[in-house]
Amino acid sequence: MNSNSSTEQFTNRWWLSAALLLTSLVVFLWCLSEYRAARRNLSVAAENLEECQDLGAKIAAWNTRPLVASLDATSSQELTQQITACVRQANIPARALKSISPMDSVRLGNTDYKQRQTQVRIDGIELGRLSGFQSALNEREGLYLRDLILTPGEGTNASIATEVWDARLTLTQLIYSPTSQ
Amino acid sequence: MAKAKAVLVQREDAWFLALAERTEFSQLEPICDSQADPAELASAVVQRLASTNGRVFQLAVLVSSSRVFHSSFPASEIGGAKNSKAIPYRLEADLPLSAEELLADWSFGEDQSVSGFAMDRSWINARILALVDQAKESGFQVEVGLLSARSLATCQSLVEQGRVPESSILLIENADKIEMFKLESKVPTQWRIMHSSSSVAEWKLLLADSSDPVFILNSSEPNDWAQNLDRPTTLLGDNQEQLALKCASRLLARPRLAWINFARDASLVGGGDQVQQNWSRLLTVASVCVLLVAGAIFYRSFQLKAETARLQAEQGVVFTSTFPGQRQPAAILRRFRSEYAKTVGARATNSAEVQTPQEAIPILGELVASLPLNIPFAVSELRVEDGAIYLDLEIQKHEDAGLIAEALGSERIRLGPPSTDSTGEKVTALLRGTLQAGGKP
Repeated sequence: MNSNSSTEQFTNRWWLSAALLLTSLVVFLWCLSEYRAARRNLSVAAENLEECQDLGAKIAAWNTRPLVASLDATSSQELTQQITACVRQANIPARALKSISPMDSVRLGNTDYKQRQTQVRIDGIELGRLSGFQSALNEREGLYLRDLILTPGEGTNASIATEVWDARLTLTQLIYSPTSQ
Repeated sequence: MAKAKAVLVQREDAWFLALAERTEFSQLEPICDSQADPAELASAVVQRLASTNGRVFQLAVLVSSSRVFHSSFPASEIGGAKNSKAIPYRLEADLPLSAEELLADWSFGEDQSVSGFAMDRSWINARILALVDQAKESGFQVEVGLLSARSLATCQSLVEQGRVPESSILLIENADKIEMFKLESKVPTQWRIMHSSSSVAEWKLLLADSSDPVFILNSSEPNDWAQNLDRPTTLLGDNQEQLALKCASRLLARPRLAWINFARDASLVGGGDQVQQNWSRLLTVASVCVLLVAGAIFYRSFQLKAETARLQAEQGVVFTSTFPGQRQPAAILRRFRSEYAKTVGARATNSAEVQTPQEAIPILGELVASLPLNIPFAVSELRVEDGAIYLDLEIQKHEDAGLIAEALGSERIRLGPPSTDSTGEKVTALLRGTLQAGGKP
């Protein structure tokens, strides 16, 4: 009886030690995997921080350049409001603004850009006011007066600078719209 | 904890125990009858051990020669010395015990022979187990470090003390028995137990095949037979018990030096217990080491995670400084990338297919400023379309068209040759031009 219990004790102790070692090894492997993950994460975090700092500096540098394209596709309503505001800003009489015809935006090939054209007709306008209209447009992002057709308006004056013109303008809006978005 | 040493010796008549006092063993004291059952023996030993201050005892057990069997055979019979696991199975052929029943130890002779010793496993296990268990119950621990035959220990002691050459014949006289050891380079290759009444003729026959010197260790006056062997013999007057105790004392400290030690067998309970305990201890120590290393690794992981968190917080700081007033997103880097792409996209067309539209008003301004004042003309239509210029004029003479074109042309505005047409009295001119890239306004 004694010998059996003694043998069992020895066996139990051996198994207990073996189980302890096995558990230790499992814990060790778990710690090792944690360590490896932590090292990998640290490396990634360092790289990410470096990239963030780099991109932050680049963004700051780019922000000093003028905008060539708007970031959002302005709605037709907003666009009309903007053009009306530009007309007002250029001291062009409201009655001279005859029409505003926005068109649908189209993608330029396979690029990340879209383009939308808007036909504007202003009659009886002096060239100087057209220049003011251009200045007002320049304050808007990505809005260009690309095309114009001038024909002599009614009641022309002696000088080309002071005579009035009927203007058909094509405003071009460049919109940055990445295809991945 | 220091281990106290003790030697348990079985003689034909009784079990004896000697305890170590510092470096020397006390005299052997009889503790119980030689035929005592395991429990009685254990009880007697434990009682004696309990009277000392020791708590952990290293025990040498030297059993009576009658409990140990011997057999010699060539190593070739087991397939060479390397195949020592086969020795117990070879021994069972010569001994009244099966391989499973015997506890074996052996040594190899210079002539590639095996000198194998064995004892009844169950007989010794029962005694050692009882002893170990009773010791535990009494609060101390007993480890069997040496288990051998008393006369083997005596024999080894004599050789190690130089009293007997490494190759010789040693006769040990015990009461009515005489044990004969034939030693070859410290290996007992023959072991016979003769009755003291054996005749001179029998001894002569036994010793006939050897010319080695004969030594006789006897506890009393030499018998007649020894003087009639017709060969030189040396009588040794040493005390057998003291020789065995000295040997046991030395071998307990260095059990590997024992010629024969059955406690080497890991399956021996008591001795095996020690082996198991060693294994158990080794596993525990290994576990602790592994856990310590794991702890160190975990601590380092914790540090790395803290450093990672700091770097991630720093990303937030960079974001706030780059985009003040904006809510910090979860994926800061992704936001940085998209913002950068938007910034670059909105401030520089990044494709050859996309060109910033050419504004018409500056071209118009240049044209108006360049119009000649000394030539009469009227503008019918002026078109600027993405840098291309179309000017429809009414002029008085055909040659005025060239003069006007020359006046309007500049480094930036290149006009082609004008075309003129007259309808009745009116002369019309059409000027076409383009804006040159890079030209100074």
